[in-house]
Amino acid sequence: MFRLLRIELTKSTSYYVFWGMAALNLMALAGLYWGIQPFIDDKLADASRNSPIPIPAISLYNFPEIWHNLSFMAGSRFFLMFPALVIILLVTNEYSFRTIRQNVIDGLSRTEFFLGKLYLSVFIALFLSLFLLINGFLLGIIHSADVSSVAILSKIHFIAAYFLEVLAFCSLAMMIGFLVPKSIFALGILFVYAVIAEPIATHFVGESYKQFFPLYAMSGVIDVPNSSLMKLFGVQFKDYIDWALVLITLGWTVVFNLISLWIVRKKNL
Amino acid sequence: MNIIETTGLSKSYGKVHALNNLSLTIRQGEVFALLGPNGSGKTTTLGIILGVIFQNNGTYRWFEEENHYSQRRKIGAVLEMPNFYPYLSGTNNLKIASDIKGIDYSDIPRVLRIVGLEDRGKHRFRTYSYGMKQRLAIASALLGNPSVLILDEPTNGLDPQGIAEIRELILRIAAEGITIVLASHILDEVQKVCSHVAVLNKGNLIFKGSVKEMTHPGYTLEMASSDMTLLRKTILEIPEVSGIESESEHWLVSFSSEPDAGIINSMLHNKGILLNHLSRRTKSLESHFLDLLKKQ
Repeated sequence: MFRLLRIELTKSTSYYVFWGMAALNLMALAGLYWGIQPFIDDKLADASRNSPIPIPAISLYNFPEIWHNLSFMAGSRFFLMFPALVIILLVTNEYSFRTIRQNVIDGLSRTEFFLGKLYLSVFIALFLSLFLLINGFLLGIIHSADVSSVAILSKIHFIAAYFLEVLAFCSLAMMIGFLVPKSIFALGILFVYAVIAEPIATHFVGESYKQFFPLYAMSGVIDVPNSSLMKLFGVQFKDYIDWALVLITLGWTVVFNLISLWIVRKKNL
Repeated sequence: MNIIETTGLSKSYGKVHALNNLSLTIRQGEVFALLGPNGSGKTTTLGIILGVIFQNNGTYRWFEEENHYSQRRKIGAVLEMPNFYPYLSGTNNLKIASDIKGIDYSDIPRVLRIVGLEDRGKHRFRTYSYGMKQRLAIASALLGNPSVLILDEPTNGLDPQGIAEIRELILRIAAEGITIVLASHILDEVQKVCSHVAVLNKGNLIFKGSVKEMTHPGYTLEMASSDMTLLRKTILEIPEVSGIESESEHWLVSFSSEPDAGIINSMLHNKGILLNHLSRRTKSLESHFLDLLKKQ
């Protein structure tokens, strides 16, 4: 496993797109984690001035809700696009440079080739989860009133849900890359599916079927956090992880990866 | 030992038969050429035995063993273009190949030295000239001292000096006892470098044997004298003569067994015929090759 991961990481060593996207992604996430509270405070201050009723202040950085708040924002489709784009390029490059062919000639099995890409996705998802954990921990320690270990740990499994979201989205991207080995088309298809096609499709199907769409299920794993503001409007979101949606997302992740594996094993290179 | 053995390999792309029922055996120590014009099935053959193209029919066996992808780690092969990651340095590209083959990185400087790229290892592959790319491909194939080297058109696109260098390199590697399979459409290259040859045309095997056999001079003599009619009549009395035809200034005489030009000359001399031209006809690989293609 580490041999395959090492091969994948060597492939990315001086790939400027990989490092550029990684830097952009981490900067954007850091900006989000550290900047969102001051941003909301500003907005609320503005809103309060014109509001007949007082608007309660919101703190996003309280343990344990911080894990829910941060993983919800980091798991949004915009931020998932960064790792997905890198994965698509790393897969389609192998076809356009015909290096997948040379890898197989050199003695990598087709299954190993696929596994290398899967391990890289897992690695990226783990790295982003760790980044969330470190930033969340620091922000919580600084701002949270309650820093007991019970408070810190009670919702920390939201990070695992975030990990699943990243991995599921990367798996979808990887499958599209294997299906359509032209980078520009693969990126287009991912974008159209994620931003246009699935949202439209889920709009027209019945409530009970929506949850079976991969991205709809994925985004539902971590629901919108229940802030005091939301309570003001009388909206109730799930402040827990929906295990049924976790199972559906896991199922889709397995399906995406099996399709990728099947393509790698069947196609002439 | 048989390095590779194929039985009845066939591959078609839709209606196009890229390869028809190919059975070949390549033995240890041979410098084996797959010779044929473009599109004759050379790369398809190599692609199948290297596991990147699936055949429709037939089987192949490496090293007289059951097929397993890890066997390819003992094979150094480059198919068509040199395929590397353009944004990685030469050395990093070779690191990937080493990791796949399970070879220590310490072998990289050695192979770079063999192909004369020791000063360019740190530079990105993208910055290489075409000749350097080809040489890096050969370096990659040489990693870990493979027992077989497979080279597909290794001198394609090189300048004359580059071609000479690569041929020199191939001969040096062959001298170390490494089996080499060389796909080429350049006859001269095959004649200079290879010991055995299989000729492919439109997916069919039309000749296999040693290069010596293929370039065999044949049993043909060119003869001329002042009286060509008398010469013809006299020659036809020799029992070993199987045919005679006129060709510009001389007769082209075929024999059923290898003729001794000296004996024939003295015999004609005894009959009062003085030859003003006597020459043994050697057939070049090229004319043989063209003959073979014509027969198709």
